[in-house]
Amino acid sequence: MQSTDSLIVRFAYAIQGFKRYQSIKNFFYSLLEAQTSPYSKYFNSFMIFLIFSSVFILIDEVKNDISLELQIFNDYIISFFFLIEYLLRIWLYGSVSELIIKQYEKDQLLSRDLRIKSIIKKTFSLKFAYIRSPSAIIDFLAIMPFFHELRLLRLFILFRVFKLFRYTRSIHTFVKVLHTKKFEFFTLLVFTSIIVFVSAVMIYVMEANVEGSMISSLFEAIYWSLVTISTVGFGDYTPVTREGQVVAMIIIISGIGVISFATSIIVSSFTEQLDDIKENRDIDSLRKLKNFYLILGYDHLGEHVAGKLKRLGNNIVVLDERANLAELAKKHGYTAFNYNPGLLSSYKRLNIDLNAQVKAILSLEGSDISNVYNALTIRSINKTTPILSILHNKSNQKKLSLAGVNDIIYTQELIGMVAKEFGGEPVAFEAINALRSETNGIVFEELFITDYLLEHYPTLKMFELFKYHILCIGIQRGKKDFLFNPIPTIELEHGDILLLTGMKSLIIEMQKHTRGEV
Amino acid sequence: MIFESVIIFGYNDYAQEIARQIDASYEYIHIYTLEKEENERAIRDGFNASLFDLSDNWDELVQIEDITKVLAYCVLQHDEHNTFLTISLHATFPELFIVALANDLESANKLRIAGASKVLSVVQTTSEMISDYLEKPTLNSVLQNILYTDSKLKLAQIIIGPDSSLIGVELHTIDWKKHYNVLILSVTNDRLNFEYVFTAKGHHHKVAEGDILVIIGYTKEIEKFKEEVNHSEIDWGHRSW
Repeated sequence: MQSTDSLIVRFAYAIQGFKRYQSIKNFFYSLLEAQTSPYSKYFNSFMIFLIFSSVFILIDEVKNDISLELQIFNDYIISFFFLIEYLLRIWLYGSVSELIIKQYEKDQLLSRDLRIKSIIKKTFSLKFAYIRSPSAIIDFLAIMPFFHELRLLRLFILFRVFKLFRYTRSIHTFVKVLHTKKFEFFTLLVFTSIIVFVSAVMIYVMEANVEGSMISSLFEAIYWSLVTISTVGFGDYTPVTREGQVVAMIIIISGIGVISFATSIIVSSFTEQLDDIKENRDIDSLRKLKNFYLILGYDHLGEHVAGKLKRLGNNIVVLDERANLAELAKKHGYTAFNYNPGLLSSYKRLNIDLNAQVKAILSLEGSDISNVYNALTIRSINKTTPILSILHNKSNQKKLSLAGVNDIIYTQELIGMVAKEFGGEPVAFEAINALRSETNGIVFEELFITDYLLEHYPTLKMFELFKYHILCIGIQRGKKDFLFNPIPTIELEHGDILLLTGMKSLIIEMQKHTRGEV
Repeated sequence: MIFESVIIFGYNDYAQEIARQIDASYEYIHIYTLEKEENERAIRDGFNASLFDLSDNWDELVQIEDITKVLAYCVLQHDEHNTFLTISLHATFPELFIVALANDLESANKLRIAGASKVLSVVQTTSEMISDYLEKPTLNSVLQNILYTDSKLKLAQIIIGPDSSLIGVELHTIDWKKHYNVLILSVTNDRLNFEYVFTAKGHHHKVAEGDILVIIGYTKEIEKFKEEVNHSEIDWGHRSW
């Protein structure tokens, strides 16, 4: 291999391996292109500010003489910023070093010399693909005012307004939506052009040589045609001949068709996109949600569990592949997605960090097979998030456990236990049950003894539970010791968990009191 | 309210678990099933089982002397059958204690109206269990311990007899710790109205004959308490907070 070749290749490998370079490139990529950096919105706001100030200066210039400083600002400084941005985006588009390496590997495989020409060609076509894209062209034109000697180029400042499309999500969405219907819009355009042209010619023929008529050139005829067909009707030009008026009538009637056609295209494209837009918005809001429960399957059980957890103050996200149930979940006020929880793509689309954001995943589907499948899918991308699943058939318990489920709830066994108690000492059992289901405003509560609390409330007595009509059933100390019915003078330790029961409102009062005094 | 024998209607997964769990506690258990296959399974598992149908033919049961000593579980697969069965049973044996299983809240309501003494809502119970497990783990494990395992810490109910020295006493005024290490959770005069001792109403409730006290404590203490509470000579010292 020739020495220049090896130099190029070594350079490419060096860049790939150079961590600092890659991390800088990633930073800018997330800032500019992917918009996932936390600084993205500041960057966007700054750019929008530059664009607007640029346009306002231009507007101001029309009537007033503006200071030299402002002119310089508008022409040089803003253009400079946009130039930097333009160059950055070119750099971010694709990776030249990767290209070189790929070519090198290909050539090695085929046992031939490094094809430098091919590399150069590919690099150019890569970067050029970006340069000729519409947003890149707009960016380029926005820099043009740099050359302010040409007065006309000052108007290019207006191109900066088009840059707004990049920075404002809603305009971007609007344009994308209309883009989906570009064929229909094109058809409409052709149709309208033909009618306008034909009627323009007709009115021109009818009116051009007539005395007292205002329409005397083809341009005026076309202008009038367009104004009429769009139902605007300025009234600056009006036909005076009978024939001209007939033409007018025809245009007006077809104008109604044109307007309705155009409106319906826009409306239908939005309606079709609406679900997608809403979904994307939901996924975006998901990025900020911390510490939520992910519930898979919105059958009755999923519904009830979601309700209970939400009442206890948690955030819930629901996944169900049945569209009607996903809708129901949304109706009940949860962030819900109509995705299949057994597919990897569902979790990728959600774009969440399972470790950092999800408290636990609850797989509550109606069949053991689905739950096993869900668990397997999740474990393939994440090993640590806790998964809880219900078990329908005892024989499948091991499968669930092997699939990676941490906690298995076997409903039948549970029901068996409860049913047994109902027959045993039903009154006692009912008392506890009623407390657990929090009817009558009476609840069970756990109170964790922090260092904070320990300082000011070293003994149980100091909580004044009697005053709040709160019963302390016991203190859980460590993993094994449960101190039942403790004496009030007992000394508390850090990490103790008090099990209390009483009226919810009074427990909250007591908690407020302990926080208030501290 | 001590039952001597148990009848289970149905032998699906739930019924099987119930049968398995109560097997040790009752002398006589009989299983009635609607389908032959379930019947055979029950027999294979070692239970007395027979087929039945939903007609109002309760000849066998009518022969039982004291129906109040029988505990009936209605655990048929379909909620409609279960409801029908419950109505039928309740109409024929109004004093029979029926525990019925419901698969959803709507059926639960119907079963209550049909005359079930206790309705077990599968979905509700499971969801409560799951949410407690996740959100109040300590509480959950303590309660599980108290309720379901054979731990020394237990739940018990005590009926106040006519000679009890507690009659006329306001519960909150008594310092239990002087005498027994038990916690009184609630008092009720019939199966529906619980007065929890820590509510304002419960606090000032004066104990009456026939009241049922629900207490938590260690087995020994509970036994001691049971014995002595219906004794008329104990002096219940007053609480000194």
